[in-house]
Amino acid sequence: MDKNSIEKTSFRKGARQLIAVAPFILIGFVFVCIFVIYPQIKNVWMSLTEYNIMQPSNSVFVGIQNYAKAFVGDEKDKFWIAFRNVILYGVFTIPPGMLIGLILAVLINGVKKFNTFFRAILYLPVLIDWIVVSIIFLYLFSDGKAGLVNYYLMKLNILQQPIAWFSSTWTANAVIWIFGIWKSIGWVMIIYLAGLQGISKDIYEAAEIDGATKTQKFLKITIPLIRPTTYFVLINLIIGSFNVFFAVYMLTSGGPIGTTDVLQNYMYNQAFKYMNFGYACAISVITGLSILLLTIFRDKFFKYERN
Amino acid sequence: MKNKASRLAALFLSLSVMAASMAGCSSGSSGAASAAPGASGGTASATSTKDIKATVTFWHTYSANSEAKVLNEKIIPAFNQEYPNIKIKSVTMPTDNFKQQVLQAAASGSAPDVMRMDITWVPQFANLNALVAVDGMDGFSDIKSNSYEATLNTCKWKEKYYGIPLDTNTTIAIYNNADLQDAGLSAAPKTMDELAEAAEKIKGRHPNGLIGISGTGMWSMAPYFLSLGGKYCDDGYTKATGYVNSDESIAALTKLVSWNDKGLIGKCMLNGQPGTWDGLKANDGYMMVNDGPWFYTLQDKKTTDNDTYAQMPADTSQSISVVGGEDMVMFQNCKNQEAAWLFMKFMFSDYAQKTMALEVNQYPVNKKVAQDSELTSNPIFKIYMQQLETSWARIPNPSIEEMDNDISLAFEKAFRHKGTVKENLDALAKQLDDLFAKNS
Repeated sequence: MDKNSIEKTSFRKGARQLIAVAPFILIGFVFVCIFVIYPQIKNVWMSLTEYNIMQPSNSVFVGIQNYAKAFVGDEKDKFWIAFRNVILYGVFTIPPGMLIGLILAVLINGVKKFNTFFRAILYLPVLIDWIVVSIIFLYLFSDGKAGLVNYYLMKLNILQQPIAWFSSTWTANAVIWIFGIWKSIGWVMIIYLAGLQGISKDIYEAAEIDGATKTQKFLKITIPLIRPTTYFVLINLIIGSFNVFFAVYMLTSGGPIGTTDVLQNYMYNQAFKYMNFGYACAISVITGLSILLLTIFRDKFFKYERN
Repeated sequence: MKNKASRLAALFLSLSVMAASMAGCSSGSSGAASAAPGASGGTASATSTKDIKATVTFWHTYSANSEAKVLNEKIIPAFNQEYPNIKIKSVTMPTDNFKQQVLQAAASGSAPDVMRMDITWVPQFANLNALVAVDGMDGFSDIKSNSYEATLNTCKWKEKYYGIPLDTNTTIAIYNNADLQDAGLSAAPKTMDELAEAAEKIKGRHPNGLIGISGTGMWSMAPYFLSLGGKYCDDGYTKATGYVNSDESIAALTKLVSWNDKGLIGKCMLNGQPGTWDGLKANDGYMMVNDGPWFYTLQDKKTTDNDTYAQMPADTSQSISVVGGEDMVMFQNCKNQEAAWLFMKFMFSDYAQKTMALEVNQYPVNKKVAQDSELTSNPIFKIYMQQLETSWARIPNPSIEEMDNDISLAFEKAFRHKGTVKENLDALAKQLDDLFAKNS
């Protein structure tokens, strides 16, 4: 058999295989095109226009004007505050959320009785609606002595005067971060628990025979072996931090003076309150690119084996 | 052979699933389209309006247990006595993200035929070309001559009217009687200085402030800022420089900032607690708040008996408040405009306006009804209607929400001493001018 006929045979074989699987991948491919690829292309296009929602064909092409407006134009102050707050949200919620979630997972993993009960209780915050929890948080952090948090902080002599939590930038942001941590630890705990259950008991037994302490086992066995889980949790929490919306929308609406605004809240207002759809699309493209850049950065500097 | 058959079967199944999914999508849209009047109703080719056969879809946010009940059980049946062949499909919409829903519906051609729309939205949707101009329609001039200018202007955008007024409201001053007595007053203060003096006298007993202003945006702040002589823009709504940063405006805001520094303004203005309603009820709470007619309707008798109602205090300017309310608008995708217009006109009629006023406290925009003795004999109604005569309709501009946000932030910065009053108002004037220019 010469080289040409071998190539022809393998091409035919490949084509046959493709035809055989085509019906199965066709549906998914069409839906990805309709609901993922097309909207993304359209979104980028809209970000380059002054979009007219009633007559899209009359939208005026403005090039990178919407991007310039955000980075250096009239909106730069508001945009950079929103961007800063997203980064701060990630910095102040991801590490504590992961740490607390991991500790809870390790504790629950070691509990024999009521294991399911603890899991359910700790996962509950994830299931509760954002709006309901926001209202509860508004009451918890209410101003004056009547607010539950103020009441206990004053009772414990930590505070002399009650704090008006939502009246200053950093206390309002702090409430948003606490809210974010509380809402995410249940999910982190469940994912880590799954990771922990994948570690063979033999490794711990071997370490015990070698005289390893509990701390040593945790630091030298558990942490390294759940690295893929940590990687997965980190990716999701970073994406989640860029998508923070309800906490801000419900608790502060961006106040005071717009200093707790985040990108999603800012984008929502631009689109649906002010009807600046082109500009709102530019904000969404910037958000997407930021996540992409962070992912590339993380891959470059935190490389390790993936399962 | 068998493989070929199974491949064909798989392909067929896949295509069937896709077709079903697509059919699901398209049936949704055809369902929405069928809600449009022309699709289900007849045509407007009839010789008499009595013979028009159509279905008119009406979106509103009337509360289900009171307002919508009157609409469905009294107003619509009365309309149908006159026009038995026009079916009104009354749809109570949820208020959450309502604007987003209306926008999506308008953009996709599935908007209702007519809608009860917040007055500030009308220029926005008119500018998007989503609404039908109604000033050329039969009977519009009668409605115009029987309307108050301020409420009618809320329907106007670029010299055309994109709707007709439906209901109106404003805010008036509401005082806690015990606090007034405590301050040595037997009646509501007539001027802003009297108000500040009274608050100053008893401020030691009110740690959260005494004048409950609910925010720094136009709706909350304008009654104070305007009554103190400030202005947001010119009377033609084209320019802010020279108005919002005029000496009078700077003086007005400076006075308000000094009140806040002295602890006279309630903490609710800058996101604090208590809110206006709770604050007014509390013993050590607010001496005065300003609010709309719903306050009187929704409070229990014990609370309302303990309050005094009055027009906003005046100062260098007359007593000014702010206009709220809703207009009736018709969307571009309305296929039977004649039927929809008949219903819109009916909602402005004496019967509909008076019924809604008497039954659910919806304040009339029809001048004749507003002067009806059955309504004016109610003292609270009378105060609101008097206040409306000098109320300001805010800025009828498609960018009103952006303007309001800029105003709110600039005022808040001044109250928090982030820059001087003049610096903040100068910057605000430029922002507002840019927005006026954008829509000119």
